[in-house]
Amino acid sequence: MTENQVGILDGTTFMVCDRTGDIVPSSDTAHGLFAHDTRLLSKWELRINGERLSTLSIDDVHYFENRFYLVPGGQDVYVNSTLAVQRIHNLQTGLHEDLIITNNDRQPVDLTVRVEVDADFADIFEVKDAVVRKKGRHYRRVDDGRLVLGYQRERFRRETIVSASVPAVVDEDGLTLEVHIDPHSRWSAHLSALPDLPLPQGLDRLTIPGRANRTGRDKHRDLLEWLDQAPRLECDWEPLRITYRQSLIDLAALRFSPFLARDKSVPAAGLPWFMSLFGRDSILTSFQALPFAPELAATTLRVLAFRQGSRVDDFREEEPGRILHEMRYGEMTVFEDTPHSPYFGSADATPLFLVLLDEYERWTGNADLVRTVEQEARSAIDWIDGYADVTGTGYISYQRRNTRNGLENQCWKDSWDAISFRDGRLPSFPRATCELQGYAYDAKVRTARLARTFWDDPEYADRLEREAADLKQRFNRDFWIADGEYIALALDGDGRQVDALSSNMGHLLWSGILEEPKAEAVVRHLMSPALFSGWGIRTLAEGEARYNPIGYHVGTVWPFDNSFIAWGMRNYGFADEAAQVTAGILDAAAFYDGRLPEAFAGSPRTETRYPVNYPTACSPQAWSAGASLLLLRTMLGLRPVGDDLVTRPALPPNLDFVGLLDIPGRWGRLDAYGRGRAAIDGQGLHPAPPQLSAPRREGR
Amino acid sequence: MADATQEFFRSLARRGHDRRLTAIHQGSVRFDISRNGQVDHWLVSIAKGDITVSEQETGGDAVVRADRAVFDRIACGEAYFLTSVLRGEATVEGSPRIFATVRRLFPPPPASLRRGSRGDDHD
Repeated sequence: MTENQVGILDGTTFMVCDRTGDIVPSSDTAHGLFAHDTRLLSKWELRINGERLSTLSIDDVHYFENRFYLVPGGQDVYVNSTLAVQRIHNLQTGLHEDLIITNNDRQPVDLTVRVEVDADFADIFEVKDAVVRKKGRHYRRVDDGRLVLGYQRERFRRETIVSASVPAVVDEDGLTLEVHIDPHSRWSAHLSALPDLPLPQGLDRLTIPGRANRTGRDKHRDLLEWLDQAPRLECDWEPLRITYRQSLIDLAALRFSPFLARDKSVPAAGLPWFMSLFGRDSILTSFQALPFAPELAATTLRVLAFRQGSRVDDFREEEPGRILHEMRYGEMTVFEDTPHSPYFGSADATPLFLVLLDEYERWTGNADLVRTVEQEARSAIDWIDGYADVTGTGYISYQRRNTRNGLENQCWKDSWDAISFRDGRLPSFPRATCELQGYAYDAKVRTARLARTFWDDPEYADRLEREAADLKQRFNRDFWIADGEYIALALDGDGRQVDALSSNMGHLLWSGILEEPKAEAVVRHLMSPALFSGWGIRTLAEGEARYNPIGYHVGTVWPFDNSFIAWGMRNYGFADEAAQVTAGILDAAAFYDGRLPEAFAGSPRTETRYPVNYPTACSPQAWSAGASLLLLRTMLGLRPVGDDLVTRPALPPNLDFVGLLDIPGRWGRLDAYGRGRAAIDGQGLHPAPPQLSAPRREGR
Repeated sequence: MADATQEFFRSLARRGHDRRLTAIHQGSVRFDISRNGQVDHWLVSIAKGDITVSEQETGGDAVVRADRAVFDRIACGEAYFLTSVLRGEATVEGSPRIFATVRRLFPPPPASLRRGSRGDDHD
């Protein structure tokens, strides 16, 4: 989203428009009203007496509601305008617009209000690539005072129905309203653009992800309830309080009810390109949110278990036991131009599913879910040992089955150039990136606990633990680059070490696969100027051939990546370094009004006083919102142990005090408090500086 | 090919047990497959992975309707069940849970070969 765009969202329905509230068709903007991965409106332009409007202000009341305060005409006119126009956009199934015009003159006015409407029904992928090539037929008709915009391809049909609450002249290009307003009076109308999916009764629920049908007021109450259910944060640094609140709101906004979840929700991945179910993103976000909103994890696990792969399908890269990567409902998916029905091309979602399952039980004590998905969990282990071990060397690696449009890289850094040697060469396939091995190790250790505790299968548990121990040993031998003292980014198809210095090895601290002495060296690298920008740890180290501070996976800083690395640092006892990373990311958040973007540039902090934007970052992004939650967990050192919640605070240097009250879990609700060094040293009365300093340094 | 549908239900009946279906404690799907104005019915019942098939005209927690030509392609793995439904070529009604399970009954695309288990048939 650019600065000239305004967005509202509600689950997987969202709208992107300009600052006057108009959807303006253009190939280089992603304006539109979208639902089910389809653009339902590609034009929605308001004219009063033939003139466009100018914006006085915008009030983004809620994530699902925007209010635009406008006057007719260009910028030079509005100073003297006696007309005030308000547009209120609300999302509920489709778009609802309340249009309110106030006549502040002593004379009555007669106005012609016109809304120009069009719908191209582009698939979100077509919008992203700015190439809309429709094979079907568009149609439009005026039907009973409503404008019906439609698209049909064979028996596939999508319609948008546009109507007004007041008498309107409807033609095939829009609506015209003749308005008379008395002196000092108001006129208002309600306009709507709603999708009509010509499916038999009940089938929409079956095939299309839904959203519990809530009205605006219900949604507002629902949001307050969501915020009320979350733990309360007390701290002396306002930006952190703002970031925390924004993160909770963004997670609320991104919630949607996928197929089978009934009224329960999982997070969509991010606005605007990833408003759908992603295995990896929903798992990691749910993990980050466990101490705050544990029900996200329960729904994510259930939905992904039910959608688990059961057969071999090259196009969708489905394999028995594999957890899905991405689910879409747009035309390109439906007609199999793209494989997202669902697409399974991810090598990490399956082990991460197991990691989340165990962590969820540790927090909530919900053993029922662990028993319910036992079969799926075992299938996931089988996938790790079988299909994922493409080279037969005992490591998870990936090589796409779908050579037409499958993902080349099936780890979280899934752009084509993300995995490389230091000199920039791209490695051969199959590729075994290092973090995948950490996830597999963690998955086995954790599943062993589940097998022993809940499935009454100690032999299986023993086997998994043996395999995990063996994996750890082999991994620390095969991936360790001795002369550089760090972990290889990957092994290539011939088992050679891919030697680029990257953030991937940071995840190994989270997984626990690293041997202690190696962990110390890895942390030293992560905090070195090559990787740590001062704001956060870069995806790829400065100095590597493909390093680019604004390269998607080759130099930018990803808040979610950093949150898992920081948490891992705490697991290995590197509390100071974890606090430093935490401070850097939370400082950056303050510059984004508390809403961390998907990624920002890897430029050194010393060069600019603010984090540099990554040009097309998605925002809000679920696991970026989740990052601040996991960073809070990190600074408080929250860990469920048996039926207790253990706290070991290690706050960023300049935070005096952080309290998190009413943390939900198997213990009911508990509070956690941390005092910073400043407070302990008796400097607690100093006001918190506007920015936490995170000096770069070499080594520890 | 003409008998793909017949063969599909016969093989389901022969399968007897499918451990991928154990998530369903008890449930049934009726298939109404039409050809030349005539409708054939199959009722597939699942109980903890055990499958039984009968030619029954009523009942079912979910109902799948399709033309024989479309279903032949689904039954032999040439067409994918979910996208067929989303294209409007087949319709579904009833329990979403059953619907999501039904897709596991259908064979994979013929071209997709098993690979990669311990790398034994990796090229």
